[in-house]
Amino acid sequence: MASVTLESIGKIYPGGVRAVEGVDLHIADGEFVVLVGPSGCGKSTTLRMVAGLEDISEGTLRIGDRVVNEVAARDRDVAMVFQNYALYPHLDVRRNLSFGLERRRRKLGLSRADIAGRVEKTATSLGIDSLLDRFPRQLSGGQRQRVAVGRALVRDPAVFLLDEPLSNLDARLRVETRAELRVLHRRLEATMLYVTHDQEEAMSLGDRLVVMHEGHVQQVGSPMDVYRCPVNRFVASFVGSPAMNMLEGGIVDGDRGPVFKVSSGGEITLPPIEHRGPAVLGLRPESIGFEPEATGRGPLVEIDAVERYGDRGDAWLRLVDGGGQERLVHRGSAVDLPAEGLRVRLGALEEGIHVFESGSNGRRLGPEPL
Amino acid sequence: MERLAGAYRACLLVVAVVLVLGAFARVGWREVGRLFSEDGEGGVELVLMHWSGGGGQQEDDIVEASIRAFEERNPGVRVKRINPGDSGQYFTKLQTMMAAGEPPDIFYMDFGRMAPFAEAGQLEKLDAWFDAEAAGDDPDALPVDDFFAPAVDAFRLRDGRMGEGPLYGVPKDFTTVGIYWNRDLFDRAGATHPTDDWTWDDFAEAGRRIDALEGVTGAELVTWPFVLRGYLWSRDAGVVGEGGDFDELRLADDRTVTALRELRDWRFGDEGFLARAEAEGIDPGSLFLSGRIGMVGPFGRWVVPSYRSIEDFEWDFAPLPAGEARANVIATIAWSMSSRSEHPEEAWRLLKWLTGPESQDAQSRLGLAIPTLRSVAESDAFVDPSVPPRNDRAYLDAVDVARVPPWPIDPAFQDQFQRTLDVALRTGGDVDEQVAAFDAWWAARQASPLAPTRSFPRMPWGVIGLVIAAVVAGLGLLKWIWLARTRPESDLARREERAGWFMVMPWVLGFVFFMLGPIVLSLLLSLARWKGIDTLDTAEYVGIGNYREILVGDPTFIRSLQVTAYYAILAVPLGQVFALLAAVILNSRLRGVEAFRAAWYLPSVLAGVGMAVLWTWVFRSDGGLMNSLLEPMLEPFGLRPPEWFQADASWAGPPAFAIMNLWLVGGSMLIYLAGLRNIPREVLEAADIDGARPLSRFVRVTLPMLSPVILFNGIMAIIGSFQVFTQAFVMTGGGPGDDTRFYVLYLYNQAFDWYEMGYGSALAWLLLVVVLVLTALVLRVGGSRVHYEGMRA
Repeated sequence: MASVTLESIGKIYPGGVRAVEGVDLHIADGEFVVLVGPSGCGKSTTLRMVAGLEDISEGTLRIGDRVVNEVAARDRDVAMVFQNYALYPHLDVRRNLSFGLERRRRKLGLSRADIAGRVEKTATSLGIDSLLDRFPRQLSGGQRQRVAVGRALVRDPAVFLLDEPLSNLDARLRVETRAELRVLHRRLEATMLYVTHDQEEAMSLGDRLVVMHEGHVQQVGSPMDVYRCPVNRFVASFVGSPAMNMLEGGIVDGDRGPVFKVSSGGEITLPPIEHRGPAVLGLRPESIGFEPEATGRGPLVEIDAVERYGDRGDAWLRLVDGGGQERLVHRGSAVDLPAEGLRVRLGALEEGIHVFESGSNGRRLGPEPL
Repeated sequence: MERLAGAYRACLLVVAVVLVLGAFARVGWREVGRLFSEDGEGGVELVLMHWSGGGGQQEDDIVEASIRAFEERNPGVRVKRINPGDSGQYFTKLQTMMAAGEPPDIFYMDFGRMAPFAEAGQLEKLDAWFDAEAAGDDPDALPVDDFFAPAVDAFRLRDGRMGEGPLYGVPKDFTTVGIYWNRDLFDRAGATHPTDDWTWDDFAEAGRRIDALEGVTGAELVTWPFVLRGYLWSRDAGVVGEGGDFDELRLADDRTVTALRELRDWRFGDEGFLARAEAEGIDPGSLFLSGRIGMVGPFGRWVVPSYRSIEDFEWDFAPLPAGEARANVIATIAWSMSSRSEHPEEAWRLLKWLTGPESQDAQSRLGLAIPTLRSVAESDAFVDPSVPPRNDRAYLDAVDVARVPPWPIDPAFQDQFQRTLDVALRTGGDVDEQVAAFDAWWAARQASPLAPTRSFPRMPWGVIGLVIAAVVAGLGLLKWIWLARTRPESDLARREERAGWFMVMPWVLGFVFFMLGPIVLSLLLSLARWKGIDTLDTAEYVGIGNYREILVGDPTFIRSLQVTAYYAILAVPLGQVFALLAAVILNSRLRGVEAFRAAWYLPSVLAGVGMAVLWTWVFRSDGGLMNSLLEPMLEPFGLRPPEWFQADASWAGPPAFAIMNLWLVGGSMLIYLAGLRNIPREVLEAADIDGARPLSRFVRVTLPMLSPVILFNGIMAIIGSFQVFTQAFVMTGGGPGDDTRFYVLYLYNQAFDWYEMGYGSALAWLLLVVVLVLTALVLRVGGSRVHYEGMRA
């Protein structure tokens, strides 16, 4: 096992297209780090640079203490699980698993029996020992995914790289496999770098998240840190599902401290914050509350639609004033959701309030996290 | 809406019907028009066909002018002229027209190729026409005695012997042969100028002296069959048996063998002074133009127009040297008349006009040949001392000793004669061996059950036609029953089905007429003997005779299979490895790789013939590109590069073609490139990460994933290698001997040079069997090693 260090890593493609710029990241030995972001954000390119599949245009990459910028992929001692698994279609599962060990047999001083033993052991641990003589085309998607993981596992590499390994599985299997990966990581205590565009997957898997956008790292932190304290509007709306509600307006002093005045009308009381003037208010769907139309001071909303999923549900709201086009979403307990067509005033729980600079990707201004 | 669509459909239908009927009407009108113009206006259309060889466009113009002059004098007769190009294309066209039963009325006939056509009854016997004129009092009568007798006799044939019997053509011009010599080189070497009675010893003496000069070759002597016959006559030797008969022919005669040995040694002996131009694929006639060769020949008059452009040195003509005897040969071309002509009177008038004084006068201005009318030949239209050669008289004087070399009717004789002797004369093989080989071949051919002298019953075309009709009717009935049983329920489905049939009809009809028809016909012909120079009803039924002869009595078949297999064993793996490597290189993401890809593919779309000519220069044994490269590499080991298409052709010829084939792998390369592109990038990246080095990745991942493509390309290459034709046809003609006689080339020789269409068809079907067996074998052996899993769905 080893740590991985990226220092000012950048990628410029021929023709001048800049895919990644200035990525600084230290992945500790045994840590599970997830690179997350929308497609085209540079997360896969970063992973491929670590794997050695892409040249590194700028910066320094270390695996352990060794600078590996110029080291070929085969000599970096990394293993990778690809999105489409990339199994060798002409080899059976046994030989798919042993392929990497066979290539390094002399270097590692392994006998054929050693290799066979390791393959058996890995296969058994993943529950694919009954599939060893089958060819990839004879396997289901989930089985292929396991073989792909096994192929990385059996090598016992310094670093595991996983490139959206779950995205080709159906939803149910994805959730199951996610947990298994987590268990696997705990058992192996391996260094893992994992790429996904699914923030939920990222939240549930990673020790730390690295949120990327347009080739830049936006925020690095534990899933709950990122969720509770997103550094800017992009991270705020990308992490969390449904996405955070955003309201344009400004902060003024009210009777009991700062108050956010929504542009289209209504106001929301804020926790202590220094900023005054134009800003954007972010509200997590689960921290939205309601007050009666007559008594409340918040913006007036109408309940457009209500969706219930068993114990929980979402209510889709529309701001009545100011054109009535802006939509918000509230998540709460299924039994407490307001009825469709009802008009209420919006309120907010303090812990779900975030204030950002105005502008498309404004910085977070506060309040201090609880 | 519904009505609009209906109107639209109706319009389309009308347009389609008008177009189709229009096309038929156009063709039909031509035929009808022909009928009317004959009866109504009394007009007659004659079809005339000729080629333009050395005379080029000039010859074309002269024939055209002669025809126009004839039309002026003969109102009511129109002449349609066809000129397919050179003599090779000409005879293919003539053969096709005759086989179709529509031969031209008047056409060129080469003396060397006349016999098979006369024998097939295609040529009108002209004696009766001459006699009728002589008996009448036509002022335009053209007595046959006005022509040079030896030239006329060249077109007589009786009982398989040329020189006597009925007359099948009137020679338009002719030539005797001799040696063209470079006066400047003779003077520099201090050699005695040739005289009209010089001998072969004089020739050899002059040749050696000139050869001793720096950078100059003594002479080049061509060994074409009819020229070789002249040489042998001058040595008082021959190729005909005692009774002047080919049946008991033996080349293995002391005088013949001695004369041939001497000729061989002039080129390959210690004091050899002859160039090897022909064996190297260089036109020996144009070699003279370079001014670096003392003498060339024996050529006729035909080289004169091009030699008149020589300005750097003086040259002249000398008759064929004398040996034990004085002799010469005549080469001549006649106008022949079709025995199937519908307008014999008019055709005869045209033939007479074309060989008459005015036409001959015009033609002799070309200087290509000697007019056949004595009066024209003696006139200043031919004998003109103001332009070289000065010695015009030598051509005419030689006529007294000149003869037309007779050949047996079997066209294979001349071909095989040249093939066998060339091994000795062009590439230095053993004379006695080759002579013995030829005698043995001829004896075997005479004794073969398919010998041309034997006859067989006619093909029962009527019965065959009935059987085919019955089969077609039976199949049609079955189809109809099947259609009736599976008839779709709904009206719409039925209309759809009809439309479907209607739409595939163009393809189905094309397939039946242009693919299935010829396939069935060639299968039937493989059971027949048919010359292909007469209509199909003359075909004779020989049963499995062709197949039996090929399999038990044809050493050339075995040899051609060996040559082809040898080639295939080299060319297929070599070509595939080369194509794959090229594809791998071109698959890399390099700047400008697209241009390279185009460059690699380019040779595959270039004309085969032009390429073959190019490669002839590359493989020239003396000074060719290939040997210039190899020589310094082989020298340290005391080795010499091979004479690819000459002395070493038996082992180096097919490999040379295999090397050439590397130039043509663009097609395979493209398919490999597509295959490589189809391999998912991630799988290769997985191998990288798994620790595979590039070579190991290629062998363990790329190759297995490419295996279906390799199998496909391999099979296509095997099939292709058994169909090699163009390069060998152009570059070596199969020679020397049969060393580069590829299977399809031999097939072509049989069908189009020897007029054995049935035999050729049988060869083609056997080739199909060979290729099928090989393909099945490859599929069986290779199939289990192919990983189709690698193919993307």
